[in-house]
Amino acid sequence: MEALLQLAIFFTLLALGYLFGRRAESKHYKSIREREEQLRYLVVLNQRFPPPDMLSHRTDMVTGNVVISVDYFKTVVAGLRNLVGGNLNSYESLLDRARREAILRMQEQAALRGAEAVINLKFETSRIAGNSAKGIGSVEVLAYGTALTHPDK
Amino acid sequence: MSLPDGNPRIPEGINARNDHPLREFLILAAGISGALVALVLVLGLTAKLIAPYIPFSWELSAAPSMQDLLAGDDADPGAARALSALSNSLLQSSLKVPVNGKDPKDVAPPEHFRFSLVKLDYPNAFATLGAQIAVTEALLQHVSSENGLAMVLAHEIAHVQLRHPIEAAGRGIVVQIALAALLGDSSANLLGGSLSTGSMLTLLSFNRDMELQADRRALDILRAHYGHVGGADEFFLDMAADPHSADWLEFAQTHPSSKRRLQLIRQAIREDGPGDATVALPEALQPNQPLQ
Repeated sequence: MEALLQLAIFFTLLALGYLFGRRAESKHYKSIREREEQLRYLVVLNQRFPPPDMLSHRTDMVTGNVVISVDYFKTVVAGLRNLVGGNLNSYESLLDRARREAILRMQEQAALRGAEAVINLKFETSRIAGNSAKGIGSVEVLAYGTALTHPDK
Repeated sequence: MSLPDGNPRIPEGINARNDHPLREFLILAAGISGALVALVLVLGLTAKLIAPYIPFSWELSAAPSMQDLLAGDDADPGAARALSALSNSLLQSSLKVPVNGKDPKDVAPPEHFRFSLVKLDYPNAFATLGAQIAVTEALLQHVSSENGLAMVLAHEIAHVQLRHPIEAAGRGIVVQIALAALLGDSSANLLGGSLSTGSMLTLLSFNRDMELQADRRALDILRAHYGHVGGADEFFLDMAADPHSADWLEFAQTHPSSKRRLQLIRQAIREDGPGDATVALPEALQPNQPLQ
């Protein structure tokens, strides 16, 4: 009886994780694509030096930071994947979303300053370990770079 | 060098594939559960193979005490003594019947057998690790002669001599340990109970083949003891007389294929021909209140 109850809890969590996680992910991707389209004009590069014609631009650091939690379904799939190895597809999409969201937030900051471009883009990724004991962890992605703003602005 | 016009459109599905997540989950779950089932099967089969080679002394040291496991008041000491006496004389007779070509003394030394009468109100008998055999008081009301009770006792003695408890416990333990190691401790809970609890060991479940093997050996023991197998079907007949009773349902749960077993016993009785008269139950074991 107790085992049945535990199984029921497990499958409920799995179903909740799947339904909400899937919904959140597709909504997030949709919003990411829309905003990427809007901010496409604000060029982001990872080169370290400004182009010669922008040498007199103002430089500011801009950052974009995001924390996303993994859902139960993804953890279970990853747990199963752990046994046999291979691509962790479920986490790949999570990190993909996090990185793109971080860039977008950084671009938004830069756009507020009226920047023309962001150079020297860098990423930091870290795990938030506080709740990882239960197998559910969250990931933090920080994107930062140097915004180039025209000196007249 | 000047800036590009805008950021490039990066095609989707390269960094994170667009596969449906359920697909991956189903493939993984099916593959891994298939592998686990295969593993459990292999472990189960090997447990059966190695069980007879596990020294009896290991079994003794691993066995929890039956008294601790079966919560029940002490039964009438006179009846318990009479039961022990009958059991021990059956045990002596069982030594004349070889176990798969081996001397029963070597398989399970008779001095380690412990018989007890427990005060539980449903008719049943158990054999568990460490050659511990228990009969419930209620069972006595379902047999009318010593031969009927002897069949039950011989059946449990046969389980021990055939090493069924270690086989059943070994299978459970091996499988649980393996699954716990693979999937983490939570799986052991999912499968019901941790290793440390004794519940699993008291109600070791013997499978159909084990029950039939034990019945065959029990009949041989009865033949060696009484010279015939008359009265061996008493307990089953009495229990099965009311197939809807709670007692019978309870018994059938812990003892699979009861019908098939009754057939086997009755066939043995037919083949042996009408035996000599059955022996009356020792007075101390006769139920105080006759069956209604």
